[in-house]
Amino acid sequence: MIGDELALQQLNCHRGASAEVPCMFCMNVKSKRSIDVLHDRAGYFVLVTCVDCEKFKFHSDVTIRKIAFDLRDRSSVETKEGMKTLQKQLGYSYIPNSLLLCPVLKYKPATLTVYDWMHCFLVDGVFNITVGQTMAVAHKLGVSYKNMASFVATWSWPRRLTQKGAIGKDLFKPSRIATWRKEQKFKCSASEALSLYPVMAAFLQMESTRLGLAENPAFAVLYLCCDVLDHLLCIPRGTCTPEGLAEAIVSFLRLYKLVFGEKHWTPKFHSILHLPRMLAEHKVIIPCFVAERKHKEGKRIAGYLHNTSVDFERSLLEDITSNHLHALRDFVVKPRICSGIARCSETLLAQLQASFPDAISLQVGKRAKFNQFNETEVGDIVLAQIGEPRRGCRNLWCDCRRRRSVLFGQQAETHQQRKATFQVAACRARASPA
Amino acid sequence: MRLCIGLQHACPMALSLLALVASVVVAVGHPTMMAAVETRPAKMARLSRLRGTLPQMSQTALAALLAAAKEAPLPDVSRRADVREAKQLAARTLTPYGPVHAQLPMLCHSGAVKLVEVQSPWPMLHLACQTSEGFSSFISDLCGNVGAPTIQSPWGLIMYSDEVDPGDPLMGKHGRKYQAVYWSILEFGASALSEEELWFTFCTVRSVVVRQMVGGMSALMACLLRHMFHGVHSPSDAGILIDLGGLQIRFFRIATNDWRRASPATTQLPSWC
Repeated sequence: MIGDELALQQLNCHRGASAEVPCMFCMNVKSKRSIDVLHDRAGYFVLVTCVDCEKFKFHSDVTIRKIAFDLRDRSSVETKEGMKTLQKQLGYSYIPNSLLLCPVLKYKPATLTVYDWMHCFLVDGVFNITVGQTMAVAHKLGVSYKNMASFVATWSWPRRLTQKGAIGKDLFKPSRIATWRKEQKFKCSASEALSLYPVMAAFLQMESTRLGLAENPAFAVLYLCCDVLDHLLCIPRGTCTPEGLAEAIVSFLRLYKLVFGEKHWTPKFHSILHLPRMLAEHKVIIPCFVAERKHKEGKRIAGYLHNTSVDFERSLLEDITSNHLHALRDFVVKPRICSGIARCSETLLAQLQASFPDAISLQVGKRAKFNQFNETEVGDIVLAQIGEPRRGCRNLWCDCRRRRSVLFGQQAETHQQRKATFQVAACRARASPA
Repeated sequence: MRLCIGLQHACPMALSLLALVASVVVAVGHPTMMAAVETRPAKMARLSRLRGTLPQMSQTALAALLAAAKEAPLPDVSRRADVREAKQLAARTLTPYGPVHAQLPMLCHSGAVKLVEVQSPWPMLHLACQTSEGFSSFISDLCGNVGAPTIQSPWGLIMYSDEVDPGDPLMGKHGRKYQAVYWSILEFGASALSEEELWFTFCTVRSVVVRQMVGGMSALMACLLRHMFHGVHSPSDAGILIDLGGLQIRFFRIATNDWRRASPATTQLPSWC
């Protein structure tokens, strides 16, 4: 079960940040405004700002379901006010017919619910707050968002990101910068944050060297936050271990608390502490970027449906089903040329054949998916391995062969003349975060 | 149906009218012959007139429709009802596990029962494997790599739910806001799951309707899961047989006694995963 904070709360009947227990997985974690921690002499309760995982008492599937059934039983005898207080204290609501109460499914809320790291970090989340706090400190040292904007402008991103407008270059407008500084929060979309975070880290490293602030703790907090994001991005590649992720998250949160305090600490900071356990249990954590992209299709279709009084749901779902089946007809996951070209210049073909004498067939295109994870387009820079392992930056034309991907590229000078022959030009390297 | 592939931006009424116009053009004179003698300004003027007479659609949609009309004759149907029927074709397809779309009853606060349209997962999976060679070969390869699902080691299910607002979020009206539930299979792998095609849409129910239901979103999800795992064709009994063009695999629901071990007093029924 994945989703954003609100969706998971709705499914699991959890009250979220409005309850005294803001985390659905922890029994003894209290919100910052709770006074239970002050009166608790036994030391059972801990605040949501605690980063010591050993102090947390985790819910099990049984305890959560027991709460749901207890609330159901108490609902018939308790007063309305009493019920409200009880629900607030336990952190769960009584919802009749809910998933927790279903006698057939035996739903396991603690085992099956997985937090989405994209929402935790990048949607008004931990990363946004950390950047805002770091830049507030940096501003006092003479490093501003304006300097960052100038630095970001010198970078180029892969074209697939540029075309989707997910690079965040246009974010740095004076009015926005003023808001970020005022709220001490960096506001951007999740995709933009994902594109910008390595560049931001590089910028701060450069500035700290320039100013002689190599060990500035505020900057170190952001580096550690970026380190956690690096770990999370490695999950699909299978190179991120739960232990490594846990270490990165705890180091980051400890330093954050030490440097910036607890003022801007939100429940999302606590939520990320559960990610390593979820990774260990499920072997993988799927971020919701794909689901957010999938929403676009529904939005596009629903945009034409204005009459909601008759069969809105049916009409929308029929369109979605029909379009999905059409999309599946062209579905391929393997490395491939995504946007082929009908004809290719003989010069280019000769070049390719000379470079890949053992190639059975050559395909040329404008866009290619060259391994499981990445797509590349004409104009991108890639690290190519041709024959003997070596590294070189080349602009791209691409050849995908069985089992391994080989990239080869020479950008046409006459790039605009797309149907003309592709002339060979010298490679032009650009700075790239990849 | 073929037209729908490239015309995702066109509304059904526009499609219907355009098909009507195209059929009139075919009746008056052969379009290729007319195009051969027409000058470019005349063609542009005719295209402009055509666009003016049609309901609003994007330039991409119109261009795709005209290109499709050039490549192959348009279907000999032009009414709006025909377009709607074509749209319903996939939803009404009957598979061994029932029709692709089903209606589930949900109890409302008023005491009434509301029927919710859902895309049944097993019929949809069956149809997707039948119609898409790429998808069925992907699952075949997966069976080779991670092992086919068995009753001892079933594949995992991922469910995702979120609220989607199709209109302008800054406008006051949010009547079209809906709760979307998607599902997929965990064994597809993290990289493949970044493809939208591998996520199936379970249902899209307006938030207004969900709020009317007893139990709201949680009850809706419970209903969906019951339909999936305890419906007429339950994967816990004989499994769900999917034909992958030569290779047949069965999708099972997990049937362990984990829950009973965890809590002896609570249940004796198997849990789901």
